[in-house]
Amino acid sequence: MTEPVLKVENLSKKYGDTLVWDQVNAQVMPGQVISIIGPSGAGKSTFLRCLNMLETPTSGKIFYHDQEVTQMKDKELQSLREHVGMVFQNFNLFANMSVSDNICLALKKVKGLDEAAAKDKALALLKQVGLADKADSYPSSLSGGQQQRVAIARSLAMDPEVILFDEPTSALDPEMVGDILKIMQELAEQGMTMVVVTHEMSFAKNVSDEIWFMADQQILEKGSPASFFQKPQTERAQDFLDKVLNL
Amino acid sequence: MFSFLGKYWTLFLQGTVTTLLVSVIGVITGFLLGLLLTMMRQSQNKILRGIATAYIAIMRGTPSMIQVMLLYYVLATALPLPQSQVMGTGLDRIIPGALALGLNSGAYVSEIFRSGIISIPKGQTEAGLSLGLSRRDTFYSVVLPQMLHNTIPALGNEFITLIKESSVLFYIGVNEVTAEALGVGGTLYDYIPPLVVAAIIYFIITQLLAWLLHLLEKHLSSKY
Ligand SMILES: Nc1ncnc2c1ncn2[C@@H]1O[C@H](COP(=O)(O)OP(=O)(O)OP(=O)(O)O)[C@@H](O)[C@H]1O
Ligand SMILES: [Mg+2]
Repeated sequence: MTEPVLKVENLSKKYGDTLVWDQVNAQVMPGQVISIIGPSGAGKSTFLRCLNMLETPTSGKIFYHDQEVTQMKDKELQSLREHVGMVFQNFNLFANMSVSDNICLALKKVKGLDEAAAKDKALALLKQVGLADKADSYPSSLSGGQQQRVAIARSLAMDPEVILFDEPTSALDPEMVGDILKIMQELAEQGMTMVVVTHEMSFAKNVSDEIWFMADQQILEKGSPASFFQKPQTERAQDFLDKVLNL
Repeated sequence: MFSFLGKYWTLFLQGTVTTLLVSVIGVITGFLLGLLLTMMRQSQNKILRGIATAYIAIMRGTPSMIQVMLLYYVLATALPLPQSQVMGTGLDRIIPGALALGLNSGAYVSEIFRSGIISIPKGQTEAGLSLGLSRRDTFYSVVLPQMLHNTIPALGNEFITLIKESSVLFYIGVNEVTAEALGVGGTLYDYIPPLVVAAIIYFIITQLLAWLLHLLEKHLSSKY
């Protein structure tokens, strides 16, 4: 029997007195692509950010394989984050570094590669996302879509086991969205385990293996895209789908 | 009106060199101390943070003239400072004087750095951490360089202030430009012309510095 890569047990998060979600249970199996969807403010980003401990849950447990993430100290968290990558809505490329240095930094500091080896790997990854010619550019001179491709390459450089995506296409001009979704689809086909918060219903429907619908301080529904999109179990999900699909 | 310069120009020259000397030492000390205080305030250690915060509060909350005099009298009694003369002033005055300027400036530089750090989006740090970089590496490779880059204009202002403030060293007998101007004024029984000359000298120095900083800013902003 295969073990989950990530597992969440009775996880709750409060900001002050505000409960974001309560007693959430979920797991991600190797190679799975999960799409988390739901209304704004439901706590999707917060949930994703708890998975790599950028945010600390209030109670409950998170496991990465058999290691308890919620118990980890700084050093172990660093190693966790090396294996659980993240791609942000706003790209968050290091503004003070060229595109290739953005990728090389962690290759050198985390993986211990020397300058030449790091550079080689960075260039190979840039080629993979179609930006080999931008290696020496600074992020501010790139379009949003190009920046996000660099961010994905930077995350891939760590050879992560899982990548968390927080609305990777929401900050992009419409004509760039397809590029990013295509790269993500290729990753999915290569077997990458991914947890994706998204408003792109076509991606959720066609690429993911499972949909998590987050609302009312819970993951209200989990299911295959086919069953979720054809016949959601709750009225809440039905309302949500009516809204987003009729836009 | 300025005919006295024919006789006394060497004093003004000496004073100018002294002002530049104490200012350069003060700026370097202030910059390094500002960095140190900033790192202390970023550290996880409560005691280090407390020391830095208290130090900054004291330096900003007391007159620099008193700081200069206190440091001078404390150092003069506690340490055997060399008395050899540089530009007409003993090192036993120049060293505490320049140091006091730096100790004072460090507090302000650290405040500048703090607002510089606050202005850097949290996403920059989160991106570093999410790759498995340590907090330390993220700070030194990502936050600190951007912070320095963003604070150059404010740092420039602080350095210009320090040059002007260095005139307080007159009170501990450092013969910088202001002191020389007052000396010459006393001899002439007329303070206005020499003080005007001193003011012009400060103005030229600060304008030159402002221009250099402007060039540096332009050079750096072309990068990112
Ligand atoms: N740092 C914070 N401090 C206080 N409250 C927060 C913080 N971050 C998020 N929240 C609150 O927690 C709730 C969940 O926010 P979150 O960003 O996770 O929602 P989301 O589902 O990602 O929404 P969106 O689709 O708009 O991105 C919101 O009510 C938000 O206001
Ligand atoms: Mg969100």
